Amino acid sequence: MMLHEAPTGRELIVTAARGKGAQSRLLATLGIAAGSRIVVAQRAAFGARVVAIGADRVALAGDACRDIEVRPS
Amino acid sequence: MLIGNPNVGKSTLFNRLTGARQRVVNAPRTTVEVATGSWRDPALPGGEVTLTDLPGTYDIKPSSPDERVATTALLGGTDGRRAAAAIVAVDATALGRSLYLLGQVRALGIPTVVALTMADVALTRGVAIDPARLARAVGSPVVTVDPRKGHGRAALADAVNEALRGGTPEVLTHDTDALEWADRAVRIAYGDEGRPEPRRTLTDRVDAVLLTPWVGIPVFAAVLWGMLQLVTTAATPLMTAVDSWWSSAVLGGSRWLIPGDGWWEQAVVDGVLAGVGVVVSFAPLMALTFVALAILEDSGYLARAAIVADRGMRAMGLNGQATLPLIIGFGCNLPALAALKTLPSRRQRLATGLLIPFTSCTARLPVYLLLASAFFPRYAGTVVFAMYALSATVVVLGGLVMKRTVLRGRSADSTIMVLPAYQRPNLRALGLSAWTRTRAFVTRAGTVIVMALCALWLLSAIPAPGSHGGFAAVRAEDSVYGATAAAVAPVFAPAGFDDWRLSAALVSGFVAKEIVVGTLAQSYALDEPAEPGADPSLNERLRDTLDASSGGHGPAAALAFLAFVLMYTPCVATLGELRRQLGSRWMLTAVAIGLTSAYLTAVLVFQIGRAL
Repeated sequence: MMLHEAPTGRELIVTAARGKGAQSRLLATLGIAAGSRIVVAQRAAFGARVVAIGADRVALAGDACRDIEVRPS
Repeated sequence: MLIGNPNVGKSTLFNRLTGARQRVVNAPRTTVEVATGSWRDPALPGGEVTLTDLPGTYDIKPSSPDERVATTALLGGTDGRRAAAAIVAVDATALGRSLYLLGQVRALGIPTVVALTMADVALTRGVAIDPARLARAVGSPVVTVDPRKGHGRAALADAVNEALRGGTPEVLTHDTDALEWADRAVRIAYGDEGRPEPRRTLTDRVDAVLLTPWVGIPVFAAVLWGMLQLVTTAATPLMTAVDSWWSSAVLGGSRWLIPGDGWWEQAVVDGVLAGVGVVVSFAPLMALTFVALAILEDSGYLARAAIVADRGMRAMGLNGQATLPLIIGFGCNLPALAALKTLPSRRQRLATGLLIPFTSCTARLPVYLLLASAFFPRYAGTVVFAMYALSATVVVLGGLVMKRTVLRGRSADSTIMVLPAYQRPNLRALGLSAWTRTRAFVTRAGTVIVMALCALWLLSAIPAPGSHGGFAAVRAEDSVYGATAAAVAPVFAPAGFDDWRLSAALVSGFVAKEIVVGTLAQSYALDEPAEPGADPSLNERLRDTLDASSGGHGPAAALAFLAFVLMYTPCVATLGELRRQLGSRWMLTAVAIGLTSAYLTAVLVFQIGRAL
C-alpha cells in the first residue's frame, strides 16, 4: 500500500520511496528509504502525514506520501 | 566551520559561542547568508578562532545554493583555504540523518568534532546517547552541548583545540557510501538496546490537534493576523517615535551645528541625514519582525504552519512555507522579503520574492484614502477594500502565471520537512539574532536607501534648463526633478493622469510610498494633511487636476492611479532587500514586471471606467 493509505500507530517497512531526483535523495537522507522502519504518527490537514522514524518526526505533504510504498512489519 | 542539519540548534550554538562578535554577510557571488564571528576561549589556539556558521543542510552534494555554499566553504571557499576544522552539530533525536552529513564531512579529510545537541529532547523521547560510544562509532570526539543554556562550551573548545592540533583524520574511502556508514554508526551508537521505538510525546499530542484542518487553519489565521498587527499597529508608534526623535534631535541639532541655508548645508541635512533617518525609522519594524520570525522558528510552530497552508499554496506553484512572507507583505514588503530566508529552496524564495511587491503594504494606504475620499466620499471604505482584494487577486494570478512561464519546467517541490519538537524560545538567542539581522539591514539595504534619497534631493535642487532660480533655491516644478516628471507625464495619458504633479508623486513613491501624499501636497504648495483625505483644498485640487487630465473622467482616472500605485515598483528599500535576497538580475526583473503590469492595469481600468 502507499503511505497515504497506511493506518496510524502501526510499524511499517518502506518497500519503495520514489520521487524525482532531489526528493528521492532527501527522503533517503531523512531515513525514508527501502528497508526503513517507520510509523505514521499523525494524519494532518489535506492528506499530509507525520511519520515517526525513531525519535525523529518528518512531515510529508499528500503528494509525497503517494510516492512511498510501505507494508506492515 | 559549523555545519549541521536545519533545526538542530546549530545557529543557537553559534550565537552562544560568538555572542555579539558576529556579522551576517552574503557568501561571495551568492545571495545565501552566512554568519561569521569570533569565538574566544582560553583553550583555543591563541585564545580565539574565527567561526563560520554555514547554512543548515542535509547533504553537501550541492543540489541547492545553500548546500553549494556549505560545500564550497568546506573545500576552500573562494580563497582556496580549506576549513581548518569542522564542528558538526548532530541531533540526538535524529542520529541517522545527522551522521549521514557527518560521514560526508569526514570524507573530505577535515578534522571534525561532533557537537551533540538536543540530548534533553531525546531523553523525553526515550533516547539516551552515550557520547563515548558514539565517538567510537564515528571516529571523532563527541561533546554533548546545550546551546540554549551554554553547557558544554569549555569541553567543545578543548575538543576543537585537539582537532586543530591533531592533523588530518582517517578519511572514509571514496567508495564508502555515507548512508551505509551512517547506518552502521547508528547501530553501534545504540548498542545492545537497539534503535528506540517511537514514543508518543507531548509534541505528538499537540500536533494531533494543531495539524488538523479544524484547529490548524484557525490557529494559522490567528498567527498571520498577529504578524500583520505586529508590522502595523505595534511597529507604527515605535517608527513614529524614532522618526520624531531623529527629526528633532538629529536634524534639528544638525541645523543648529550647520547654520545657513547654502546648498551644501541642505545636501547634508535634507539629503544625507534625512536619508539616514528614513533607514533608522525602519529599524524598529525590522527588529520586531526578526524577533517574531525567530519566535515562530525557535518554538517549532513555523514548520506546522507550512503543513497547514501547503494545499492552498500548491495551486500557485508554491508550498506552505511561502504563506508567511506573503502575509507579512500586506504590512510591509521589506520584512516580508527578510522572511524569505525561512523558505528552504532557491525556487521558492525566487517565486515568493517576485510576488511580494504585489502585496499592498500599509505605506500605500494613505494614497488610497486620499483619492478615495476625494472622488468617492460615500464609498471610500469600499474603494480601499477593493484595492486589497485586487492585491490578493494579483498575487494569486501572478503565482499562476509564473508557474506557467518564468518557472515552467521547474516542478513545485513537495513539502517534506522535519518537525522539530516544540520548545520555549530562548530570549537571549532571540535578542542576539534580531540585533545581528537588524544591523545587517541598516548597513546594507540602508546604503541603497540613503543613496536614492540623496539623488532625489539633488534632482530637486538642480534648476531645469531655462528656468529661474539657483542651485538648491528653485521651485519643485522648475527643477530637474519637476522637469523630468513633466517629461514622463504624457506616458500616462492613456491612463488619464498625465499631469506632472501625479507623475512626480509616483517618482517620489519609488523612493518611499510614505511620502507620496506629502509630495502631492507640496506640488500644490500646501502642507501635508494630518489625515489623508481630510484636507478639502487638496481634495478639490486633485479633482480639478484629474478631471482636466482625463477629459472629464476624474473618478476613472483616480481608480487608474490607485491601481498603478498598487502594482508599480515597491520602494527603494524593498528593491535593496530584493537585490540582496535574489540578486540584481531578478531585482531588475521585478522592477520590469511591476512597471509593465502597473501601466497596463492602469490603462485598462481607465479605458473601461470612462466607457461605463
